[in-house]
Amino acid sequence: MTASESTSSAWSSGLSTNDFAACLDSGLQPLGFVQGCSVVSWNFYSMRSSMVGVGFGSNQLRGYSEQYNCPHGFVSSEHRGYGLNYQMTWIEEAWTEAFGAAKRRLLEEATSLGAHGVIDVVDRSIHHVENSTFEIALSGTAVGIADVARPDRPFATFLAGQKLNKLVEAGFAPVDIALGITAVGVIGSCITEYQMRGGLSIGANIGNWGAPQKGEIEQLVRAQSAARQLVRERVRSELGGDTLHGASLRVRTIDTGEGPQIEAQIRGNRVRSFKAFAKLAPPRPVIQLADR
Amino acid sequence: MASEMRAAVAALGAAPSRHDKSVTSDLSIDETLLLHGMGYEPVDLVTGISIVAIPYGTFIVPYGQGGPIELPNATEAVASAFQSGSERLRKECATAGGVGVVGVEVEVDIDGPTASVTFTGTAVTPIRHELASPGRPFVTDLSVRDFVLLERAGWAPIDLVAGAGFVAAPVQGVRKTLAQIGQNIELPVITRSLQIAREQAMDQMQTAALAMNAAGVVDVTIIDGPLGHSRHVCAFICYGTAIRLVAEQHQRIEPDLVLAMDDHIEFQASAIR
Repeated sequence: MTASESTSSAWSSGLSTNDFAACLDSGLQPLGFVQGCSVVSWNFYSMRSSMVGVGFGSNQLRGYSEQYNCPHGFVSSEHRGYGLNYQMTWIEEAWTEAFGAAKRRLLEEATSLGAHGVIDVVDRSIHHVENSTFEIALSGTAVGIADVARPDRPFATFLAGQKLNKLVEAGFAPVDIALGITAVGVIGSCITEYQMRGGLSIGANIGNWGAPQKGEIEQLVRAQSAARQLVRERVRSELGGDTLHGASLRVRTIDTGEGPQIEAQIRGNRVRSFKAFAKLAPPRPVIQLADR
Repeated sequence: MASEMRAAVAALGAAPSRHDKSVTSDLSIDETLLLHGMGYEPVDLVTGISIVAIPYGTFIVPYGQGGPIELPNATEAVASAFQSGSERLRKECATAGGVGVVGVEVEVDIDGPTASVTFTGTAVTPIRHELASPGRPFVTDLSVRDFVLLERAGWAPIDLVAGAGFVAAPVQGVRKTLAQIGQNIELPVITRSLQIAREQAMDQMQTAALAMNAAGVVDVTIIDGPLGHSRHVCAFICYGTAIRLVAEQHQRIEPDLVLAMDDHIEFQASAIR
């Protein structure tokens, strides 16, 4: 039974006992366990190789792209004419749509309970059916607070318990959860392929004699850096003067068989300063005596 | 606490100040508070990465060859990846207006013919320029807690320094293998290979620290063992934070001893949790 279907005055929550105690201590009253999820799919993965074959050049791509031309001229049909780093905007759009829908549903459930916000949000993402279908599920505990007008939109945070209380004591109000993803695909140029295989590539080797086996693989470095840069820009552009606190940046490189696909994901708590930051007194160093 | 929470929730109705610049950080609230207590604040989450090619054939060693064989191509590749990645991190820090990067997470990956090193950390800056900028941004993998303790002791981080050593221990011949059956003996080629790799790596790290006039290196992390794809290659990678004394002399920290009164309880049955 979802929170919105609940009719009794009893409530459910995902809070641990400690977090529940801290929640009451700060004046927050649990109202119910709320959830939101969305499943989306995209069908662009299989088109990676055809992007080279039909000359899907960088002019037709949206967002970041960089082309690496072969310096050798025509060598053979196996020798790649150019390489490409490109932003996989269709993955980002599908992901953003799914996250937006899941969050909207989560907050709608919280609003229906008369909540001021949702704390202890847990996010879960699962790939279904190989890599083309993707599910995002969010859950958390809706909370209310007495004697305060409800905000237009409930706040949401991954934090709960003492961590949330410390955040507020430090002068930050929880605003929202922030998640962003960027995907960058790499179609290696002849030199990149050559370097990635340690100079051992029958097809790519033709014409590559004399190419550097040592040194940085520039195209890969640019792609990895771009993925990290784009995802941070994406999240930063949505902050509007707020702070992204406790952010975690995770990057995974998937070997699709047609070249690396780099997915960078960032998540954290969007918080807003509501009072001057009180300077902490110098902490007292201690050593805890313990049996082991 | 309740009044603070009410004030926080009530403040959500107001827009953020126009003067507030968006900040991203991977620090916890405890770390942010500690950092603030030192006179610093986070400005941006910054990264630096380098991926370097290791030439084909580097890890191939002739069967039955005598002693350990040093692999300078692999050693140079990892050292170069550390340096380039660290420089990119520092450049991002400077662009963000930071004076240094703390809590840097270092990831090292040797995947066949490529070596990659990735740095992720939070750039920090003095609050309202209370502290003098140290010039070239510092980089440290120390946590904020360790950074605070170091500063209180009169020391300052300069940079991350690293070293790497790759040495192949050739597969021994059949005759030697048969002669060792049923005996507990030391494998001198592998032992020596590990020793050479370690000495090379530590030497590089200390040389790098000396080059920047550091007094020492703290919090050294060691990654060692056989390479996943080439088990006969002994790899030794080490990195840590080079530090220097900025106070006139070391400031002694005298921690208080505390005795926790709560017992550590272990539940044997999960059903009663």
